[in-house]
Parts: sequence; C-alpha cells; structure tokens
Amino acid sequence: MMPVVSSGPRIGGVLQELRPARPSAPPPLSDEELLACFQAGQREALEELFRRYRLLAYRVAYRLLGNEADALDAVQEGFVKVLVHLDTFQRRSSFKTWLLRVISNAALDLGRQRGRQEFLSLDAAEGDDREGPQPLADGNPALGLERADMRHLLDDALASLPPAQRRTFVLHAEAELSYREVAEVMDISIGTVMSRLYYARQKLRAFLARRLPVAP
Amino acid sequence: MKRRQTKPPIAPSPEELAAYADGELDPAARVRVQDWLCDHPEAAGAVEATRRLQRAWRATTPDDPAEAAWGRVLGQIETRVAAERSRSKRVLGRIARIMLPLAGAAAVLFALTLHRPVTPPAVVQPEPIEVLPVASADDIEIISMDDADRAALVVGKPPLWEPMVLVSPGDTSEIHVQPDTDGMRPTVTRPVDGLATTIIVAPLSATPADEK
Repeated sequence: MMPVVSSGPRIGGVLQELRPARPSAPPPLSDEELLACFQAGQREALEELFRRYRLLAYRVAYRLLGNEADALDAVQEGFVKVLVHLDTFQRRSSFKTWLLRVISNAALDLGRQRGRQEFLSLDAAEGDDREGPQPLADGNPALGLERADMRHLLDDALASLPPAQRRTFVLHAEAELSYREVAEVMDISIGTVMSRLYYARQKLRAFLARRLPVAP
Repeated sequence: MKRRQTKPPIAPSPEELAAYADGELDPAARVRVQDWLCDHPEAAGAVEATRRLQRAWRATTPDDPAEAAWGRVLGQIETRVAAERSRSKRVLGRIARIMLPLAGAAAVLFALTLHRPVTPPAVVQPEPIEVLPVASADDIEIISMDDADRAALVVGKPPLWEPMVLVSPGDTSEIHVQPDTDGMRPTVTRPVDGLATTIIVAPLSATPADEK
C-alpha cells in the first residue's frame, strides 16, 4: 500500500487520491496533477507516473533495442531526462507523447552506443536462451514458430530498417499511437508517418518472406 | 448497403490502403476506399497483409520485467533526479556567489558614471553568419531516383571530421557557369574537354581527426 504523507491541506488532499482505486474512489489524478505534485516534492507522484507509463516505455524501448537490460536502461534514461527537464515541457503535447519521444530517442542513442546490430546477430547465432518456448497466441500456426523465435525474427527485421522508419513503426505498432500522435512525437507530418509506415512494412514483410515459408 | 458512385472511385495510394487497414482514415476517405475495394477485390490482399503483420507483432509482445527490476529502475531514477536537482542548486548558488559581488561593483560603477559625460562606444555589428543546413540520414528517404542523377548525390556519415569551409572568390577561377535550367544542379564547363560537369560541394579535407 502506498504511504500517504500529510503535508498541507491541498497536497494532502491530492495525495489521498493516490491510494489504490476502489469502486467508490474518485478518478485517478491526471498526468498534469501528478507532475505538479512531483514538482512540489511528492515522491508518491513519481511512483504513480512511473507505474502508469513504465510498461509502455519499456515495450517501445525493447522493440528498438532487442533486449531487456538495454530497454530498462533506456527507460531509466528517458524518465531521468523528462523529470530533470520538466521545466522545458511546454504542455503542447501530452505527457505520454513527450515521454515516448524522449524514451525512443534514448533507446536509439543507446542502440548506437552499444551496437544493436552486433548484439542481435550474435544472439541469433548463439540461439535463443532468453526464455522457454511459448506458442504464438495469435500468430499464424502455419509458420510453425514459437513466440520467442518469431520475436527474434521481428527484432532482426526491425534492425534492418533505417532508424526513422523503425521508430515510426514501433511508436505506431507497439505504443499504439495514432498517426497524429506519432507525427507529434517525431515532429513530422502525417503524410510522412504514412509513408514511413508503408515502407517499413514493405521491408519487414520482405525480410520475413526470405526467412519464413509463409510470411505474416 | 453498398454505395455506388456515378464515376469509379479514385484508386487509393498504397499508404492510404495501409491507413485504411489501421483504421486511420477519416470517414469520407474510408468510404471511398471501401467502394474502391468492392470494385478491386484483388487489392484486399494488401489490406489483409497489413493486418496480418500487426497480429504477428502483437503476438510477440516482449515479456514484462520482474517487479524487482522495476524497483531497481525506479530507485536509480530517484537517485539520479535528486542528484541532478542538488547539482543544479549548487551551480545556482555558485553563480549567485559570483554574480552578487559583480552586481554590487557594477552598481557602484554605474552610480559613478552617472556624474560623467559618457561617449557611447562605437557599436560593431557582427558579420552575419550564414547557416549551412546539413541534413542527417534520418531526414532523408530516397524512394527512387533517376540513374542519371546519381552523380549529383553527395553522401557521407556525420560527424564531418573537419569544419566545412566555404571557398572565397580568390580560391576559385570561374570558367563558365551554365544557367540553372532545372533549378537543381548548376554545372561548370571543364577546360580540358569542354564537357559540362556537375558542381559537387565537399569538405576541403576528409582526413579523420583520429588519424592525424
């Protein structure tokens, strides 16, 4: 259970709302309210923001980097950057899209520093020992692939894309951002988003077609 | 009920078809694509391919990290943010310690100069610096190009090893510059054979800094 600190009537009242939601509980605080609490020095607000976005941030970073350790580093880096530079957040976009912009940038930077391509090709050569076999829940059974194998293939296919296309595709496919939100995160037009998604998919399909009997 | 128009609907671009599969088209465009697909069932495969890839993608969502890993990451975030905030405070304190005496001295000097006639110093306007835009690899996607244009393509990887220096008029002798007919590439006539060749701009030196 999250500790509740009494620190004045306003913030104390706000913090009451950070308790786990119950059916009759008031709606959760908005991102804006949590950011204000964080800036007022409330640790619980940071915990709540982190809990709210950690998985989304992690999945985006994972798809861009291809392994858990690097993805967690990118999440850490992104959250630190966002929180340290909160004063520069102009509120023109949502906190979510701003965070994803910073996280995806951090992931690509980290990938460049640590050589994502080398990691992936080495890993593929050594075989998959990251997790046990799990059947594809919603995949094409004709592929005859385990979930982890398919993810490795998609990782490799993603790594073959130019960074801008990779980032655009991951933000749309993994973070499930709309075209408009992807355009906002990447500061590009919706037409460019459409074009990048189209070419990214073409390349992914071509990559997979060379390695699978039946391409998804 | 299927809509019918008097004239056949315009064929959607491949990007529009993908946006249709993603549910990203506005209602009018969606109806237009639907109508077109009714008349072109062979194109339904492209829509289905987009959806199939999306399904395969979702089926391979990475596993969530353990709660302990999240705890470590959160702890590191808190430590780093706290350290950064305290560093910022120290820097601000240092600046204040330096600036306060300077501000005091400036105030005294200003008070003294109020009693003296002051001739304003000549203001030297700095030369305007022309900004040379350099596109990064992420900014450009070459979808197609004419083979004849390949000679005009200058490619390389940043960072440039040395600053790019623009030539000054004394560095070059102009032989002949053709009118810029296509608005894209000025050319010069080579003195040896009289053939026209494309001007290509490149750094003056390409020696990597770490090889010096």
